[in-house]
Amino acid sequence: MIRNLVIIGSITLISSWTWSIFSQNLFIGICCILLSLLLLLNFNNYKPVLLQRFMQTAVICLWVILAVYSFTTSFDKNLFHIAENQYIVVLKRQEIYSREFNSFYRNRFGINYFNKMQPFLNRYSANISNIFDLENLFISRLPLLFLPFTITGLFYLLKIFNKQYAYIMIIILVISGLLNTKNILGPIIIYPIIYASIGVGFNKLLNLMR
Amino acid sequence: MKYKKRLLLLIIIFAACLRFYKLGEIPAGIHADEVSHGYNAFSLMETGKDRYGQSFPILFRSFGSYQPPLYTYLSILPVKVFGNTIFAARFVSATAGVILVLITYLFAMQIFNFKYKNKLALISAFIVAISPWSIFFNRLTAEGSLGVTIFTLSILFFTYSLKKMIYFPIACLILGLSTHAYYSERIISIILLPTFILLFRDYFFNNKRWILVGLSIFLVSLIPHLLIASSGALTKRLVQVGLLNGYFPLGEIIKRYITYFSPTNLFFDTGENLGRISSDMGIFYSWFIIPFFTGIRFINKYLNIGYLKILVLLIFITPVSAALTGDSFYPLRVLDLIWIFSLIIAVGIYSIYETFPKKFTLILLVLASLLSVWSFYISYFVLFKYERAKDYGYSYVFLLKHLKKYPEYRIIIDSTREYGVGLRIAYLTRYNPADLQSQLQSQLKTPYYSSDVNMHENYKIGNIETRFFDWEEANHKNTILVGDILSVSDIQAKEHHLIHAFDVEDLTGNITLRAYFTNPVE
Repeated sequence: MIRNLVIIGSITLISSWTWSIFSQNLFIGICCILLSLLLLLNFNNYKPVLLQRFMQTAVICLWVILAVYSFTTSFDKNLFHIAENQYIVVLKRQEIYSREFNSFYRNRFGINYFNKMQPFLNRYSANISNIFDLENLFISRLPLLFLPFTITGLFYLLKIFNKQYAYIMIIILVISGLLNTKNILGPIIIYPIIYASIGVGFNKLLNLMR
Repeated sequence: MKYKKRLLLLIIIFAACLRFYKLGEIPAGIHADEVSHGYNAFSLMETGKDRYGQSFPILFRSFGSYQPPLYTYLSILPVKVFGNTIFAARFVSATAGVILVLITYLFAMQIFNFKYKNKLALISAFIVAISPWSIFFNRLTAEGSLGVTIFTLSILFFTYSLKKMIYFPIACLILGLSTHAYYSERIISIILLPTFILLFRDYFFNNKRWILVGLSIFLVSLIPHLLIASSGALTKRLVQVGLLNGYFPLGEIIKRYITYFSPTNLFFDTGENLGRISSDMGIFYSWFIIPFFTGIRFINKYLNIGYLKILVLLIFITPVSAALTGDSFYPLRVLDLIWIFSLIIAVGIYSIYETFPKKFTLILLVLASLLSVWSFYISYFVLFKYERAKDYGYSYVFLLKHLKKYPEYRIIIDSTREYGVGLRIAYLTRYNPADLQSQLQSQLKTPYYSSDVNMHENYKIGNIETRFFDWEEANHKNTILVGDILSVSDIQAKEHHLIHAFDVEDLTGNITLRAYFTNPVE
């Protein structure tokens, strides 16, 4: 328990991302660190029976707080309608589709699919892609020093991946698709997973060195 | 077993359809680098020399990028058969892509080690057949397409050599050939060969004779490079695009290296940049991210440790050459790595199929694949054709149709911002290579192999000249001046008494070229 505390504490101290979160919103910063610690304890199988239920509840509550905060600060309003700078592109594409697909496009289904559904899906998938952006994470927010620990940690997490983690990931993906990249705090919804992975990786590499 | 061979044949036919369908029309137009291969192949076919008059070059000078030679030499046959067409220029790339699908199947059959490896091998071949990266680059005159095919063929033979040493020299020969196919393989192959031997040193050191034969063959294959190493031509491309300009920026190189593993770049649209495949499309389909991570999770279940080592080695070394360049993400330079990722995705798909109810999963996967191919069709065969036509000089290709109506006029085309104009015209009109050689030879300011290359060249093809605009031309009669929208402003046209002749539009209806009759005032 103490080792995990020390690991999380050290990682967060070195990381400029954590400091920027703290400087913008102390409460969210604390939630992020607490959630990272709880996940790290979970991944390292620290599960005293008495604390299990408490940990599960705490994890869910903290994640809900982060999700609600993300929604309120960076919900993508352009998701359901076309942004001004995209409008010209969509207009031009309407001409292209009309030329290429003829009556296959020029009907209610075709027009709705190409003009509404497709831009929505593209935008949604672009938003999801932000949480996987290694460049954004390791070049802008985290020191490169953390990279080997993160990769080791993620590999280990893949090995122990189970249904529970799958559900969490699906929920995170669904939520991320609704968020834009304009949040000053960054993709805080995945902050706890990243930091917990770093912690797991650090633990594993330490154990290897012994 | 027979139905599996039929399935493989179906996959290969499907791959061929995706690569050869409207190959000469999409991308619309032909890029300067593509036409360079085409014209050089034509010139070699007719005269045994490239367009600068160099006999059977080791590297093709080509606007200073010194294109690796293998693609051009292999293009001689398609140019002979299909003529000077865009299809002929792209033929080798498309064919290499189809062969890659077969190599993937054979490689998967070799490395996967369990009862149903045939199914996994078929899935691997299918993933390569339908992946956006594969189709996109196979439909361009891309040396990288040929490079990845030859490189993976060498890897296949290296895996064969782990059972029979006689394959080792063959693998070394093919690896050596890959260094003449694309730039990336020059660096990767030199790292790969000794590392591979060290990785399996217990096996290889008991067969030293074969090692020596293999290494000798590999070194002999590099002799053409060594012959021109001191000229600066061999490293010219790295100097053009590389980060290593007098110093070693380790931090930048590591950052570049990481970008090739970023799931955002692999599975999602990277936006308007060099690394983009086509609109709203990543290198892989977005849903492949799930089998990708699943594949990482389960890959060691289907491979023995030896082959896993090979994959890990390839994953680490294949992005090295790309990491040394200044572009943040350029998939053409890491096709070998992307091919490995395709195998991992195939493992993931198979694992998902094994884990969940089979019929339901199969239907879901087939549906997902069909939807993916459909979305690729919209993105590439429809949107890309129109939206990126300007990047492939479509307007200049279309311009030729207009210019045929004015055989009695002298036509001057501004090549300030489009260095491939003259060469496109030369290729598509089958301009006599001997005449072009004498034109271009006289413009060479440095030896053929040199680190200093003048990129801009003037061409005179019949009544058509391509060069920088000189307003003196406005004083000549019976002349048509053609340029892009920046070449001649309305004020300049009035000032020089030019009469508007015609416009050339791109596929989206935007005017890209304007032509004017001169009207000299006496």
